[in-house]
Amino acid sequence: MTAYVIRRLLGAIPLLLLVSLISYALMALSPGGPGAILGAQARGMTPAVRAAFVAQLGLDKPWYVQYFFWLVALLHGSLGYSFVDNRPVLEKILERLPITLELLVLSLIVTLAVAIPVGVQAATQRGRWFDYLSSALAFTAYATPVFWLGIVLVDIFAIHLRWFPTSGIAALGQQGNVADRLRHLVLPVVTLSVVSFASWMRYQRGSMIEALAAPFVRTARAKGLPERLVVYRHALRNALIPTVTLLGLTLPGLVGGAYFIEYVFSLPGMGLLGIDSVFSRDYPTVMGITLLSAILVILGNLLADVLYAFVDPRIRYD
Amino acid sequence: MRESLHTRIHQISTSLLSGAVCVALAACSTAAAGRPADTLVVVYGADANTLNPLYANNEPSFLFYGLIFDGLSNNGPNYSYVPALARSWTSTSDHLHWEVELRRGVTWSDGAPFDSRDVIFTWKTMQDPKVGYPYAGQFTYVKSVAAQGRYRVRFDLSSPNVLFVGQSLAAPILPEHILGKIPPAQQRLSAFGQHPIGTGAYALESWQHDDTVVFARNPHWWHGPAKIPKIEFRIVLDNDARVDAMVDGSADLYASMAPADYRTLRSLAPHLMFYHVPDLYSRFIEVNDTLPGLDDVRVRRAMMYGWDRTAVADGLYHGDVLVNDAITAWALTAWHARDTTHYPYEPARARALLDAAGWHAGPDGVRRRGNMRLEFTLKNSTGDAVLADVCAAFQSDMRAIGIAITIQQLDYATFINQTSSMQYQLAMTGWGGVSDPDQFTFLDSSQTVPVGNNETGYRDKAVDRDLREGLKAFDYGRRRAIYDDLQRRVSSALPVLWGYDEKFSAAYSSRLHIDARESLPDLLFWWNVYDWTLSS
Repeated sequence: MTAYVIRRLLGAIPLLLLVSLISYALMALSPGGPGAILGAQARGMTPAVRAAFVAQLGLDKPWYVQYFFWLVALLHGSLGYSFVDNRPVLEKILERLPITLELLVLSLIVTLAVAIPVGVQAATQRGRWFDYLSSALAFTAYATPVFWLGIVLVDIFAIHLRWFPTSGIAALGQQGNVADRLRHLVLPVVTLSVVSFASWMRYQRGSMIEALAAPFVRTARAKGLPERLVVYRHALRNALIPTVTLLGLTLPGLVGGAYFIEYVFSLPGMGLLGIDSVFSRDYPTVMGITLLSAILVILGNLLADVLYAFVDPRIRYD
Repeated sequence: MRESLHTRIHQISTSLLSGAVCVALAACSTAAAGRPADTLVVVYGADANTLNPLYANNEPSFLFYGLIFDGLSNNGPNYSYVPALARSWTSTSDHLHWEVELRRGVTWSDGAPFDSRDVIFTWKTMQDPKVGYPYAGQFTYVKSVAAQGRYRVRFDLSSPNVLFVGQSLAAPILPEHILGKIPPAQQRLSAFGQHPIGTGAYALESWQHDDTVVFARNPHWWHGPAKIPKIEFRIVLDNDARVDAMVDGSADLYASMAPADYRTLRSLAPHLMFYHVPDLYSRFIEVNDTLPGLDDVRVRRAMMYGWDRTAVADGLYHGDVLVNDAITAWALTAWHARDTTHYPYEPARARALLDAAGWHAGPDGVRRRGNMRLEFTLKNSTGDAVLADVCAAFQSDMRAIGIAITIQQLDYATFINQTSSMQYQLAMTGWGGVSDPDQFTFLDSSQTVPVGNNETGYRDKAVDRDLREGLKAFDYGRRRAIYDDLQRRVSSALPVLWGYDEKFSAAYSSRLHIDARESLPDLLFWWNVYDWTLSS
């Protein structure tokens, strides 16, 4: 297993390089192009000062040369300095990362806590009203754009009903208050969970239907075990195995979704930093966040594979 | 987008919010009780990028470093400049040589003494291209700066400049004993922007990025300690949350409010104090005067007469903006000329002007002259829902007089990049924030981009003369006459389509005492923060 994990990690390096190269190229070729960040600051600049400023940021070189220098700095352990505030990019990301991770982990917990029981129930009541209703809800949730849902929930629960705050991570003077923080996270977490609920619920339902038709379940029923034990002890444990792989597949969606959520709810996480950086053409910060997001996704996939082997003794990677 | 989204939602929900105001007011006393008695709590919509004046590039950066650093001159009442780190200044009769006597006994917030070495270092650093100070171009007329002893500095100018006291002497002075150790090319990446040392009324106490910035008064400030011991800026990205903080009493001050927030707070929180005056910011449609069609002043005048700006002011801004036909903002009452050309909404006159210019309606209603259709693209930056509506209203008004307008929404970076390189026909933009009527870099023909900020390509020798003479006129009466003439000329020539001036709004709690008679709009609102007081 260790050898497999090492192989996978080494295999991730060219993937990360490719992701970073494509990202840099896309960013450099986007409208506005290199130098657009200087726009607001450039008012009042003489051509000489402007040229010096551009050169200082390395923006006077072709994008592939800029990319090369970025890569060299990365190999020396530096993600560079933000064009906007001249701070180390890593420092800025690490400041914001906890909020994004908090959002992701809480969403995942809420999603699993709802999707798995609903999926199981839909499978056991296959073809009945609960199955149809939960499937309809799942498909609707799946088709719902995350930013739209966020806006709707804010409108209903924050503005009209005033049950939750419209945005932010803490009320004024309440930094450090856990209850207040959780209250701020309810709507973002629910929004993100609703959207990822669909795939988890449908996957769990399918896996459960397969498990319920397996011979060992028939055997358990023939032994006269109560249906609750048959479903939750025998069928569910086996049905969870393929579901685990979904963890890796869900992570990219969750990371992407978290970006929109942070933007809609003004949560000062990595996603909001990323979007702001894109708008201000802060290349080093955009690249740092892209790289970190790619690492999160790759690690998520690897984790799923490792977990798969962990929960199913039949699977060996060596 | 984030701001406009919430603004819209807020507009829809204002009436529903009214029902919740009682609950909020009930909570007010509790929230206010939790507010530190010696601390002014300010809600602000964005965090500073840096507190290093050399690299400040957003509004909160300018505001925050203004608390920490002093210039040789600082802002005074009624847009004046008063001695700060300078005790006095004198100039020769030709205004080419200035001697500045420095204040003695001033210390930096780390205890180091201030003297002429700091002034010389600051100027050397600002003018060194390796440092990359973006605004170095504003000081090119300062030929040399030399120490005349420990507390005297001499400035030699290449040409007299009336902005010298308000612009050059107001430049924040940096600590030589700290920044002097850093090579010029490394200044940008130094940690000074996060841990600044200044001589100003306040010193940075703590900074949690995008969350809270706390300033504590400098007990050794040369002016005498500021009256409020601490100022805490709480960064709240969302407009609604800032409004909520004012309604429930968890914040003392919300300045530079969006017009919708001002209206909401007026209706929801009448217990607050309000400051609502014309701003220094003017909004207009920039015109690329070098392009066919737009290079004809009759077309530009037709657009002005065909644009119903009163409807924009009343319908989209609820009367919170002032229609302006002059280049100088209404807020600058000492300079604003009232006898300029006025452009009331007269679509018939607009049509007549276009007819006279040879533009006649085609089969689709759009005017043509020869093979050319009278159609233009109006570029706008995303992020302001009201401004998008202003563009749509302009488009509709122009269609009514036979001009086709296509609106192109661009993200801010792209918008700035394209307009500052004259890759546009029409652009919804604006200028402001300065308290002087000079517009040399925006209008002078020598300042056409990329040399300066003349993005319209406008050229007028008489205006050039006014702009240059205006910078040399040290007598108010003479300078006023020059700028009156300038305003009349550009109002008639229309290098841009004049729009409206915004209003500056601030709401504050009754425990904060500000002398509103001395207050000014925009960032100048903070000019005398050291004199504000808090009651218990």
